[in-house]
Amino acid sequence: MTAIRSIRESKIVRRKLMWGLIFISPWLIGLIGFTAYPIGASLVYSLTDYAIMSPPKWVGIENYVEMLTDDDLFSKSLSNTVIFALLSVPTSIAVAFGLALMLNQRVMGKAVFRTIIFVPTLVPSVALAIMWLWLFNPQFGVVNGMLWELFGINGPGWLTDEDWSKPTLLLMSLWTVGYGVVIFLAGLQDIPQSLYEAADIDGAGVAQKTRHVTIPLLTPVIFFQLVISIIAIFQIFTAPHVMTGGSGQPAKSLLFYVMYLYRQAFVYMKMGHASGMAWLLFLIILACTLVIFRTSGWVHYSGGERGTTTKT
Amino acid sequence: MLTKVDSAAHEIDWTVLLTRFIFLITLLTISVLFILPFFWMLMTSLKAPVELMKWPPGWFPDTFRWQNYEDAVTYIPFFRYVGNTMAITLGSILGVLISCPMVAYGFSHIDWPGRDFLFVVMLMTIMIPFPVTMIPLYVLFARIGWINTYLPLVLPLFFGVPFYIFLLRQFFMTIPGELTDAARIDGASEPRIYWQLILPLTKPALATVVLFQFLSSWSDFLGPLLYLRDSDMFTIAVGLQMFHSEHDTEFHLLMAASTILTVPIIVIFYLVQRTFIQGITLTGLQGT
Amino acid sequence: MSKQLSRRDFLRIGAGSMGAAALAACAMPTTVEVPAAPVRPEIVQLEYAGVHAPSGLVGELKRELVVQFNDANPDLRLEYTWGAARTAGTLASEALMADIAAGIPPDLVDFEPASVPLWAENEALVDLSDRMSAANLTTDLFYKAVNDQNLWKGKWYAFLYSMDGRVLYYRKDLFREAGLDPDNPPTHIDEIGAAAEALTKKTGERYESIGFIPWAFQGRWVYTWGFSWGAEFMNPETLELTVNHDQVVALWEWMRDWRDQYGGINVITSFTEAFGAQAQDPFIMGVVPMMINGNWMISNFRKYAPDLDYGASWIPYPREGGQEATWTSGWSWAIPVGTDYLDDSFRALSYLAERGNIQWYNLGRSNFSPYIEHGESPEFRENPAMSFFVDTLPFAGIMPPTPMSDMAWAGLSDAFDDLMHDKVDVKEALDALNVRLNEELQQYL
Repeated sequence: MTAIRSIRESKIVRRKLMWGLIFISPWLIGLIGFTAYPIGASLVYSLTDYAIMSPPKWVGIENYVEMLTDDDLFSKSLSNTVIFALLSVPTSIAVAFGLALMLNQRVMGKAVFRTIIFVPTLVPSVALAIMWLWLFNPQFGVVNGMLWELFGINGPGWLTDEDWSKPTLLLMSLWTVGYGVVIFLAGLQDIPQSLYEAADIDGAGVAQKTRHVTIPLLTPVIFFQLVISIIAIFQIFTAPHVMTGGSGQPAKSLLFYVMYLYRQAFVYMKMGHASGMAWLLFLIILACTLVIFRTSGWVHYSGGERGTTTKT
Repeated sequence: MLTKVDSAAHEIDWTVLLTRFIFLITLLTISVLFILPFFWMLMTSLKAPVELMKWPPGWFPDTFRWQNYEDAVTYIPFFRYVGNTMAITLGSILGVLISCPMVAYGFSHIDWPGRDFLFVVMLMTIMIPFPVTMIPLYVLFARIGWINTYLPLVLPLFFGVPFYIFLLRQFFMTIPGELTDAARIDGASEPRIYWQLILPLTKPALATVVLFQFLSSWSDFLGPLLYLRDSDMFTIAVGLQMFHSEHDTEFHLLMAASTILTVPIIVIFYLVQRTFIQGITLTGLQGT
Repeated sequence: MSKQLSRRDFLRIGAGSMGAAALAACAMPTTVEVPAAPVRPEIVQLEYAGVHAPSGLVGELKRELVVQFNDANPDLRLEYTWGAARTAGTLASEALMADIAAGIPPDLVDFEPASVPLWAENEALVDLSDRMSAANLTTDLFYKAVNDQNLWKGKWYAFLYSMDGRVLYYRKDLFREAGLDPDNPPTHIDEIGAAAEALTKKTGERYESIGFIPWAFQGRWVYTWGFSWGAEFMNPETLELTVNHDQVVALWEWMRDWRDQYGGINVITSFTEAFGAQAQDPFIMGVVPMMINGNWMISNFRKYAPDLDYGASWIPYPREGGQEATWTSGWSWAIPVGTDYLDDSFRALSYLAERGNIQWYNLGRSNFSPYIEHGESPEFRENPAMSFFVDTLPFAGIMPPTPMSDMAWAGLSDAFDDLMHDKVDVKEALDALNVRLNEELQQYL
């Protein structure tokens, strides 16, 4: 009896394994064909002195030793990145979530608002830059003008002040919050109407319904946003690189990790050093991600037993 | 919808009204801030070069210079680049639609040994910054003769994008496992469960993936610039860069070209947002 | 955020069943392979990867030169491409590096002169010395500033075909308004200090205009001011760098005092950053009536403010130790290592480098020819401002040509910004930078 059952079970397991592998096969082929080699190569480079256009020379762990012991900008760029991640990840998720909730209510002109929230992601970034300068210029900007007129406050230097540059960058990044809003809105559509009706019968208000129905059922989407934001923010590059011409000024306050890595790779032609930095960053991001996965008991999946998502 | 409000409104709920009013004011303020860059683009697209340097700067042009639009589409081979971009974009969307939901299903509703480990491996591949994998990836494409073709821009998408796979997996996992298990007991095969049960239930998520991939292909600058060398093959994102020269930018033309590109997308977004955000989920919520 | 991420994913991820086979082929670390010389076809296809977009004035001039070349050389077919060799802007030169690493470089590229030594040391550029002398292109034809940037360790690695320059521009109309003599612009630093004060307008605590911002526009780079102040950035004999020269220290201290006089760094930065990068020019708007900037502004003035009443003069210098000077840079041609038909690549280069072509191109775009003899030609003298620029060229210094030039650029830019935010002592910061640069430089000497 038991033998037959275990054979049958192992057959089921094998069938599931087969189907699982079939379904993920596109990604698996891609991994072997395209992704594995560049990633592996960068790991090898991190142990070499490599100027891109001439062959790499083996140096062992020298690059790692150098960045950890003899590189001020390494620690500066890392701390900038961590501080910005701590500022940015919760804020951008909260704002996207809040806007999505509002846009899911019965508000006049909802369709127009939804479209407008997405418009800044479509216009050229130079139009956004002009807009920000118009708002945040310390002398001529609208924000400081209003602070002075209304409250008699001398506004900060925003992007030109090293203490304010990171919050300002964060404020600016909120103009492209449309991506997050769309993801949350899609998630909101999956919540069954019946749950809200049940809550109505219990006499729940908007706040209670949000707290006890909407948020729990949106936890898979929040979880996704959290993991993806952390992976993305630790690699933040394009916006500050373009805005500061790669310099990370003022006073290196916007010099983020990948910007400095880029400088090492393509300005100093030290691809080995840059690759070492990349792998160290990889370990940091991986550690953060695993911590989030391990503590993801708060994520509510309808599948019940899938509540804990990973056994790794 | 309206009747529902009326029936509920015979006792006026002031807190609800106040909340809605606050929401409305907040949304209006944000909308003004969010629409301004677009407005600046539109107005600049109608200015003459001498007007760009006026002090104090004005929002509106003195005379509306429609000529800019004609100049913009002849300054660069505008329509050729738009055509190239459309081809790449459509191919890319097809690619992610075929690959990503399929992989996401394999990572969610089938329980197989090693699944969660491989899922984390997939996330690990997007934790390495691009600058250090760029050169080996380029060399790899060069060895298989893909440089100066659209293949590096399209074909990789047929093998899945971790960002979308993760997103879709999260949405798939909100579908109760009992549902797929019941289908299996009824004898449905995995492809059938995927195709007839999972996909129809997650149309908003699929629409989100289509939207994101559209924008990603449409605005991708680095990819085409790296892999394409023949200027007849360029995309519109690269073409827009041609309005910048070493020490000067044709802002009025750049903004005219951008307006031509942006306005249709905004209109389409407005027209389809209801269908795709509210999706097919009939049980979905219309409002609280 | 997700936008950036998905783009990266999309570049990174993917495959093809053939990709698996390619993996095996690519498993070795990248090396530059020199393939066996291929059989020369009847018509050789050559690619010139230029830094200027094919649309727009400069790109059109280049494409016209290419057309002429093809007409004159029926056995060659040169094509102008754009993108792969960008050495300015956000992409730097990764695309060119990738091409060289993959063994498929363009046959001729536009090249940033200051990067020549580093690339030459990495064996990425072809030594052109023998070919240059065979083509009668010799150092006595060119300005010193040109030769110093073409050669590294006595070998030709590039040909600088287009020079730029930097001067002090001032608004004559606003000079008159402020009671200053529009035909007598400030030459010494005390004079520009006084002129700036006269041109500054202030209401209460708010500045409406600031007469002059020393580090705005091209004044931001230490080389622009350095030569006028008598600074020397390297010892030409030993190649030792001296970015901590006393006159650099003096220059930066003067700028720091200027910052304090005009309300601090935040206020002043508002003036240069206010108007949207280059979207709106504070000089044309009259908000900053004097500036240090390049010759390209002349064509910008013509386009955006045809009636602008302005003059050009020497960059101001101190009475002690200063001199009339400027900084010049420009664009070079170089041939990357790994091209298929080296002789033909050089035929293209030497055709484009002919005197007539160089003069025609530079006149067309308001830049300057590297040939000394062109300095005398009347065409370069028509516009008074352009004519003034030509007079400055014999006194132009260049960025110190060593493999450290890019690192020095980043280091100096960081150090100056730190100074402006009171993070460092001028002397200490420059000394530390100089030590670091010379240490790194040792590996190439």
